[in-house]
Amino acid sequence: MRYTAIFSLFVSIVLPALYGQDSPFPTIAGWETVAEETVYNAENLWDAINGAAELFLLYDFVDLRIARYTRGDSIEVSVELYRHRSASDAFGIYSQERHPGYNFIQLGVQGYLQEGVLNFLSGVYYVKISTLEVGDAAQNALLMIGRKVEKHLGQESAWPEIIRRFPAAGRLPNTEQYVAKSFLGYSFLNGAYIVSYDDGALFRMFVIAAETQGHAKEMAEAYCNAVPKDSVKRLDGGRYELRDSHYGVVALAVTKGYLCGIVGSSVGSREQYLRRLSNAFLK
Amino acid sequence: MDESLPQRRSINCMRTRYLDRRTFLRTTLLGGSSALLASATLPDIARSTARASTFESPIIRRKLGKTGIELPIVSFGVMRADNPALVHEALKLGIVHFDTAHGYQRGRNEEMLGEVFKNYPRDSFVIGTKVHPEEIDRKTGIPGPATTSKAFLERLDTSLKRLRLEYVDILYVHELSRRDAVLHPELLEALTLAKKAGKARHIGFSTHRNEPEAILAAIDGGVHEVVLSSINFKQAHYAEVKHAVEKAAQAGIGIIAMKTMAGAFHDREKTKPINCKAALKFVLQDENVTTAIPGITNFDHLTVNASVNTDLTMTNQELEDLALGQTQGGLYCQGCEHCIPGCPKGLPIPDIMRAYMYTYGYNDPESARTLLTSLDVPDNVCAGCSTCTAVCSKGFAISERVTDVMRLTKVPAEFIT
Repeated sequence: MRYTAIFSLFVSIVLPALYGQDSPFPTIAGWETVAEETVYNAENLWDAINGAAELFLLYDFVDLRIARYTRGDSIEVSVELYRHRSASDAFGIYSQERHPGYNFIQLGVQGYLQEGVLNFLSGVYYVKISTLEVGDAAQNALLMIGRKVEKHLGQESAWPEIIRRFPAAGRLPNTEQYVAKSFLGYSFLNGAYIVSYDDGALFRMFVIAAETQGHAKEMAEAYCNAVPKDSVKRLDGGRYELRDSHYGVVALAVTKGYLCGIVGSSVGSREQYLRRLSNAFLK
Repeated sequence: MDESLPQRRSINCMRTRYLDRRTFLRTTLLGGSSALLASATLPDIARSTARASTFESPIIRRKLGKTGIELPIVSFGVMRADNPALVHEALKLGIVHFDTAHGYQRGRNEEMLGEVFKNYPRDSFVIGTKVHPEEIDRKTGIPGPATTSKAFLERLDTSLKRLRLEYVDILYVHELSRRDAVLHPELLEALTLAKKAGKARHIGFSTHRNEPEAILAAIDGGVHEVVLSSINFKQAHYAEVKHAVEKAAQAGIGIIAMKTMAGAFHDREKTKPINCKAALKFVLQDENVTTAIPGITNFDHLTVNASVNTDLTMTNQELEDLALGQTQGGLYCQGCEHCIPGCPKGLPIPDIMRAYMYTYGYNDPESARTLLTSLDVPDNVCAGCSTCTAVCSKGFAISERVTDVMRLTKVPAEFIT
């Protein structure tokens, strides 16, 4: 109890005083910057974003820092830096909140700009910038601050390598996702990269990087065991086709340490698309 | 597909804005992309009252205060799931109450539920959603001047569009932790108007810190019908929460529990997972709690949680597992004043113990400092005192705690967050 008490006092009193010596927020000429003393971590993210925290925690959230930029009396802008353990995790939570219909811009890996809001992905950071003000001046301020923050963070601006390898034909833009835990609701499918496709009907393809070829096969077998036995077809070349009561036919292929899959496709396109996906991960 | 989307889900609780309808329709290729994962054939859902459980025992149901709603004791917190298949499966297992929020996934969470429920009879499910105030000071927990009834109701309209519903069963103000916030006139007006307009059958708020104060304020306010509160076995002030819940239940307020899993791990290093089923059962042992909304990520979690709906009995192993986690217990001073006669300096020990709980239980040293400053206790008051006979009926180390927490009065206010 004593140690807990000392630790709590340290976290709540000493750390905030020290914080600010190596600020992740850039200095911007003409703007006053006030960084919040509280650094939110996995223990107290609830205090900042309530129940939404649970989803962030699934993506190995590290911390959240917040600053407020003010220019005279005219514009106030809030900058929130959500840092995750890996770029894939940051991409994952970004993809969970992104909608394909947003107004996307090139900033960091990708961003989208709406009235009063600029959100973007930059390496291990998911950055949210917002203002109450409306009009061109406010929008320009968001963009300007966004660019400064992105540069200051100095992160790599690239999509996850696995996402880049998904086939281009039929691919729907801005539908890429990363699901860290329990893809399709199955606890044995973790770390899934997903992209939606359209060949007249919508379907999704996914890839999970396994630790080994054996692990990839184990995941496929676990899936087969999760559905009735007579719903499973084991095909040549590490391929499977199974009927899942929740999703219809799911086709799987184990390829060089990757589990590739296709969910919801029509019979005609299933084999063709899965082959394309598997081939992309044979190299 | 919903035609409007939130432009921000900022923690600063700023204004909601909307996408232009044509832009949205033009650029949204997938529509409800989550519908891709919806089951090919909808489960054969009968009305909730006739729905059969896959478990042998009957589902345990409890009344939600005076709302007239009766719910299975286990519900579904959707904040972690963007998977419609889990919702369909939950319905099959007899779960009927789903909790979401305006801000989850920038609105995609509500959209997903709207996509799922569009084909179900409206009276076969219960939806609760939470709408945040326009502006709230995270340090004080008090709504700012930008908080208006109008802005709140605009957000509610957006939520209803996403959910494809004319009304929600329970509308909450999202996260209120202070009495002044619970009784904020603009928020009370917003809830009342929403109910009057038929957009919410029942109204309330959610709270996950300083819960007792917030819950007791709801009783005094007489407006809220439901409180969604953090309740779990690790809460240092669990006894105080339980007491407030009891009072609320007596006043006819329905209590729904959240954060029952207490963070999923006992330790920061995440090496000791909490027995989540036991934690859920623990909270539901209190019959004043109508139902709980554990977050559910996969079918395994769902099956485990749904099993609690028919069997609340705690096994010895589950009791042992929870005892492991009760490392922060013993912070709640029950105010018996048994200690006071033994203090030669006449210290207000219960108040100081409350400050200690604020600091180490609520992680709220600011409130603790405010309280301590108001008590006007001399410096180093326990130092060198050889005549102390104060004894705590709960066994608190009184002088040690007094000395520890009184240090807060020496810390400049600006260093306390």
